[in-house]
Amino acid sequence: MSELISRDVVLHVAWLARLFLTDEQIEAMTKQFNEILSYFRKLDRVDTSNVPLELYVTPLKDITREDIVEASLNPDEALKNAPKREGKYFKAPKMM
Amino acid sequence: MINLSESELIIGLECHVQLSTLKTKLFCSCSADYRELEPNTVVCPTCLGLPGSLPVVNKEAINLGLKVAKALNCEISDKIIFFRKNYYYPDMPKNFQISQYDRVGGIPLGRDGYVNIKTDAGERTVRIRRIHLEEDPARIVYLGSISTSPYSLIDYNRAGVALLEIVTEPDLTSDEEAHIFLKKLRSIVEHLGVSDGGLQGSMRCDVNISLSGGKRVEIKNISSFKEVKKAIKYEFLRQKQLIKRGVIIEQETRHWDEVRKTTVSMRSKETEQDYRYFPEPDLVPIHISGEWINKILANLPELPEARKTRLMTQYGLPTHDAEVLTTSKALADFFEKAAELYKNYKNISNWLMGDVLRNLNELDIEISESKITPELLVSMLKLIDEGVISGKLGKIIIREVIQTGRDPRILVEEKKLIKISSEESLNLYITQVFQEYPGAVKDALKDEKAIHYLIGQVMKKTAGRADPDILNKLVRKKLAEISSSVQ
Repeated sequence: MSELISRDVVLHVAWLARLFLTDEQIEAMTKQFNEILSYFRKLDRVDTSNVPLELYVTPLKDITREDIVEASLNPDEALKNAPKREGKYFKAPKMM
Repeated sequence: MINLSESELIIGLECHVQLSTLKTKLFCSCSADYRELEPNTVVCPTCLGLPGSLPVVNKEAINLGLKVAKALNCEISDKIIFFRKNYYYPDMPKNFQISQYDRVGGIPLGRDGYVNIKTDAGERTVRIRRIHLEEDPARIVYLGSISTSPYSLIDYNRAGVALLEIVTEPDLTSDEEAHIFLKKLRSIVEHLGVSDGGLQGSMRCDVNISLSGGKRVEIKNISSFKEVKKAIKYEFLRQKQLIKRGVIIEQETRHWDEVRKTTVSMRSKETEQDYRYFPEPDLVPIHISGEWINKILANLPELPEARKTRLMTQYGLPTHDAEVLTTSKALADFFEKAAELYKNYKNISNWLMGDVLRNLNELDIEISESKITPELLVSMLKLIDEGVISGKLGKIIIREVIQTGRDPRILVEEKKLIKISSEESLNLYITQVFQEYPGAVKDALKDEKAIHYLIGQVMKKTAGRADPDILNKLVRKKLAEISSSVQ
């Protein structure tokens, strides 16, 4: 199996998610990324030369709503699942 | 104004205009009126990005976007498609922002438009590359400064509020031109009724700037149109200095530090492909029919250009006046309200364009932030017309009216600013001055200039309150008396 995703790409993707992986994790992830992508490569066998580009798989379209205010969550409920909070704020690490 | 003699400056703008007249956010029914609220009080599962929630687009947001696209002469796409812009930062709780994209099958709401602006060098066309809808991120609060704060506090009230991103081609060549363009843009969106530029943070801007064909530097985080001019000026001088020293300008993103008024390198590591744009699967395409566009066109309100022409025909204003007044909706509204109360339209316009704007500039406020009203301005103009105060005094009290909103009639009485037109009182001052300046009196018998000097001295003594016509008459009369008694 030729490698589709290099270790560097995995590291870069991890950085985009601000994840810091151990060497073992990088190795395992690289292997899994490649397995998943190889599996999806099976789709390459289908001839799509006559199929137009389509961004949506659902026949639904033109669904909008009116500009009418509805009740929001109460603040305690809104913050209920926050891992950390301070007063009425969500608290998060400082991001780079 | 930047001196362009040495370097060629090229500027493109990326403006973010909040659709602040909407009642709800772009993809959920939470109130979009988030200012001055307790943190996290207008949030719901959708704008908090909770699992299982689904966005549904606000139809009125599309209407407002189409209005702006039409007013900026854009081509309008036949459907609206949203994309996910993925990035990991807590200002978007979903880890992506729902936006629009112009590649891989995406199409922005509007494209290839233009705005004409009037500069000192004449009319210029600024091309609009694209206009698209996206959601505003949350507000992040740091303890102390961004660099020393140990963590961040997040208020999601703003997250999901509808923004219109408006991107120009790099057609601007000075800080002044950028400023004129932004003022025009603001006047247009305010006339359309889609945004109120007076609201804090409702109009923000990123600036792309390059010098002498060098690499493009992007300046982010400019939170008001006013600051844009300062940021451009600073960045221009910084790059010019570097080029002078032989340093090559690198392509980079810098951050505008509003407190220190400098730009700081941001070391952004994300590139366009890192955002991994893909079509938002939770939203469906919205088709824009010809019928929909026609409805928008039929309901398009009067725009600044049309209003300018109307001010000229309806009030007989010169082109220049009409142009200046329509650079701001608030200013044009002020003029028209005053014109309902007072029929010397040119006089209103002169005062607005002259002393009112000059004082607002000096105080660094907008007319909507000042205390002056059309009624108060008209009240002052009438005081002058009635001869109660001189025009010169009007120029002095207008600043106080702007700052306090107090009735000019009361101000005039309190300050005893009423014009002195009694011959008896004026003669007392004249006698005093003639005694103090015997030399000038002698000269004045044959020298016109010395007469003006004496009149000036009386004016000074009365703190500008003397009626100039009567004073002039009395001084000449007294000189004539002296002259005949000498002979």
